[in-house]
Amino acid sequence: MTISDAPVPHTTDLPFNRWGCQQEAHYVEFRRRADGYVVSFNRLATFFISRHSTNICCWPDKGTTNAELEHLHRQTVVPLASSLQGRLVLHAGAVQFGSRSICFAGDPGAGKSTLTAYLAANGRPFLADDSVEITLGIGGAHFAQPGVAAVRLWQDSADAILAANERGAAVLGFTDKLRIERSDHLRHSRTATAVKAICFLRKEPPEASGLHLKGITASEALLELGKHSFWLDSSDHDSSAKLFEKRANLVAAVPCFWMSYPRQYNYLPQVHELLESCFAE
Amino acid sequence: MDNAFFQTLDTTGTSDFRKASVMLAPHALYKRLNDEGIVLDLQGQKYFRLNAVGSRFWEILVDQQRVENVISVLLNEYDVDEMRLLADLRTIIGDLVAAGLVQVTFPSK
Repeated sequence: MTISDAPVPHTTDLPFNRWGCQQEAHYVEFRRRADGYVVSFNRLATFFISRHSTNICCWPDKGTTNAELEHLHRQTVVPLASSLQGRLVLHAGAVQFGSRSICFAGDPGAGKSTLTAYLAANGRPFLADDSVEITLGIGGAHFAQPGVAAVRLWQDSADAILAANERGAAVLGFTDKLRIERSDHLRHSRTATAVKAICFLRKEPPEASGLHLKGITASEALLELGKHSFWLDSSDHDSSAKLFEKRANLVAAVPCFWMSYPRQYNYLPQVHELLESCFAE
Repeated sequence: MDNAFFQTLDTTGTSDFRKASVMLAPHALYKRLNDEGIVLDLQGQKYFRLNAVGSRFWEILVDQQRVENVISVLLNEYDVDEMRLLADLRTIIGDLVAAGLVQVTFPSK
C-alpha cells in the first residue's frame, strides 16, 4: 500500500455500492474509475484499488492513525482487492480443530468474533477473526489461510471470555471494539488448514432456547456464502465468474450448517462441547 | 420486460414457439449442485434456484438454443407428454425472461 500525497483521485460517478448509512462511522462508498475503484471510508481514508488490484493507494483523512489505516487495509481493502483477482475471502472467523478448521460466517453482530475468541481461549487456536481466504490445495482440499493474529471484541465479550490482563484496548478511533493480540492464552495458528465445515451463525434473541446445528444443502450454502464473502464489483464478469465457481466448489466439497444458540455467554461452553463432539478428530 | 413479450409468448402458436430461439443472458452464471441448479444474475446480484428439471433445461440451453431442439432432448430424457412439456416450457421461459436471465427470439414471419 502506498500512502499518497497527491490529490484524492477524482471521480464523477455516483457510488455503485455503499455499506452502512451516512450517519454511521462505518459508512463506505464505492466508485468506479476507468483505471480502478475508489473506496471511501467515512472520515477515515480513501483508497484506490487498480483494476487488476496490482496497486493500492491510500489518502488518509486528517487525524486517522496508522493503526486505523492498517486495519482498514488488511481487513477490508486487501480482501476486496483480492476479489478482483477471483480470490475467495470469507467474512468469517476460522478456528483450528486438530488438523482441520471450522469457519464461522454470519451477519455483523452474529457472534463470529466472540465464538472465535472463546474457542481460541479454550484450546482451539484461531486462524482468522474477521476475514479468511480460502484456497484450493493439491488434491482438491479447501484450505483456510491464517490471517491477522488478533481478534476484535466488544468490551462485554472480552470481559466474559478473557482474563483482565488480556483484554486489549480500543486502538481504533472509529469503534469501541477492543483489539486483542494473540497470546499464550489466545492462541493463533499460522498454518493453512483444510476446512472441515462452515457454520453460518444466526442471530438469536437471548431468550431463545437451545443450541442448534443443522446441515444445509449445498445450494442453500452457496446463497448464504454470497452474503459473507468479499466481492468488490459484481459487474466485473471475469472475477465474478471465478468467485462464483470457487464458492460453488467450496460448498460442494465442505459440509455447511446453520448454527444458532441463545446470545448468552454462559452458553459458549455448550457450543464448544457440541463443536468438539461433531468436529474434533 | 414489457407485457408485449408475454402477450407474444401467450399467443404464439405452438409451431412458432417451437422455432423460437432462447439465449442465456451473458450476465447469468450457472452451477449445478446435486439436484439443484443455482443461477447468479450478476446485474441484479440475485440468485435463482432451479429444480432438477429446470437445471436440466438450463444445461440443454447452453448447447441448444432452438426450443424444438430443447423439446427433442427433454422428450428423450423424460417420460412426459409433449403438450404438457410445451406448456411447462412456456412457463419456465416466461419466468426466466421476467428475471432477465434469457432472451427469446421468435421467427420472423
